[in-house]
Amino acid sequence: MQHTSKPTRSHRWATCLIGLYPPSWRERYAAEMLMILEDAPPTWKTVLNLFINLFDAYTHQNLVKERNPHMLQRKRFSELSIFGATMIFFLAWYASQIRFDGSLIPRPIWVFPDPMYSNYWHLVPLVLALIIPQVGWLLLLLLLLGGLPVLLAACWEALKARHYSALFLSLVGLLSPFVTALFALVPFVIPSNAGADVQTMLWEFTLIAFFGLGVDLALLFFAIQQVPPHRRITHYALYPATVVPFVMLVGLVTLIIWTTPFLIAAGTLDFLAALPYILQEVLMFLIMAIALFFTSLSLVRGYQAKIMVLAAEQCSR
Amino acid sequence: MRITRTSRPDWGRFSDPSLLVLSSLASGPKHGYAMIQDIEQFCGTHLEVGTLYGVLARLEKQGWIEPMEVVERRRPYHLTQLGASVLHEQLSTMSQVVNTGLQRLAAH
Repeated sequence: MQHTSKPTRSHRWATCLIGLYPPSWRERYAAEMLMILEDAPPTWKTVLNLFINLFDAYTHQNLVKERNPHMLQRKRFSELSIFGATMIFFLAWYASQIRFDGSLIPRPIWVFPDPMYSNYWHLVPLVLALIIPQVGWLLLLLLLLGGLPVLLAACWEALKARHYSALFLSLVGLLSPFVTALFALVPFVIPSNAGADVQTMLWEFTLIAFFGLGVDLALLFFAIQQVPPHRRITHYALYPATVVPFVMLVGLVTLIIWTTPFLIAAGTLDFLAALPYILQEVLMFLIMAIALFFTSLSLVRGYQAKIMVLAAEQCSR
Repeated sequence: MRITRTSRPDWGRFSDPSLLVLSSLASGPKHGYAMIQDIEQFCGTHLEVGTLYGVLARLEKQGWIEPMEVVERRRPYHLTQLGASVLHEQLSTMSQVVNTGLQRLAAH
C-alpha cells in the first residue's frame, strides 16, 4: 500500500490522537501504537481510523480497566498498610501515656499544656514535652489527609460499580474505629468500676482497643481490595504517607526519652507494684517500633510500585 | 463475513479483523507491525493501527492471545491454546461454507 499523504503532519495528528485515548488504554497500548507509527508512517486514513477507534476505546474502557496494572493496586495496598499501622501506632501511643488524676478518666500527656504534670517537667528537656503532643495531632492529621481519602474513594468506586457489599463493608470500616473507641472507654466510665484497680482497667482498655482495631482493619482491607483503586487518590495518598514514618520515629524516640525517668522512678520506689505498668509501657513501645518498621517497609514498596506505574505512563507519552 | 456464533461474542466491525489477527498469529508470535504486514500479504487487507489495537484488546480479554515480553521496544503477542481452538472452529465453519458455496455455484 502506498502512502501518498505527507507523513509529518499526519504523524503529529496521529500522535495527538493516541494521547487522547483513556489513561488505562494509553498505559497499556500507547507505546506499541506509537512504535507502529514509526515503522509505517501514518496516512490521513490512519488518523481517521484512530479518531473513530478513540470513541470505541472510551466506550469500552472495561477491556483494559479490568486488567489495571497490578502496580496501582499494590501501591494502594502499601498505603492502606501505612495508615493501618498509623492507627495501631496511635493507639499504642495513647495507651502508653494514659495517666490518672484520680477521676478515672484517662488523660494522656499529649493534651498539652497540662499543669498537672508540671512537677515532672524538670526531669526531661522542655523541648521533648513540646514535641510529644504535636506528634499525636500530626498522626491524626495524616490519617485524615491520607487514609480517609483512600477509604472514601473506595466507597465511591464501590458505589459506581454498584458493589453494595463492598460499599457496606467500607462504610462499616469507616465508622468502626469510633465504635471501638467507645467500647474501649467503657471500663473507665461505668459506675461499677469506680473502685477497680487502675492497672486492670488500663489492660482492659488496651485489649479491647487493639482487638477492635484489628477487626476494623481486617474489614477495611477486605472491603477496599474488592474495588479498583482510584488513580488520582492513590497517587496523592502516598504524599501524606511519606511523612508518617518520620513522625512515628520522632514520636517514639521522644516518648521513650520522656517516659524512661518515670519508669525508673516508679521502679525504684516499688518495683513489684510498678512492674505491670513498666511491662505495659515496654509492650506499647514494642508495638510502636513494629508499626514504624512495617510502615517504613510499606512506604518503600509503595514507592517501588509508584516508579513502575510512572514508567508505564512514560512509555505511553 | 461476520463471525457470529451463539457461544462467541459478537464484536461487530471487529469480527473480521479478529479472524485475520488470529490467523496471522497461528504462524507464530508477532508484534503489531508484523501482524499488519502479514495480513496485508496473505489477504490484501490493510489493518490500521486503531482497529488493530481494538482487536488486540478484545482478543486479550477473551484470553485468545497473550502479550509477551517487550523486545526492542516492540511487544509480540502469541496465540493461546484457547485462541487456537477458537480459530480452528471458526475456520472449519468457514471452510464448510466455502465448499458448499462453491459446489452450488458449480451446479448452477
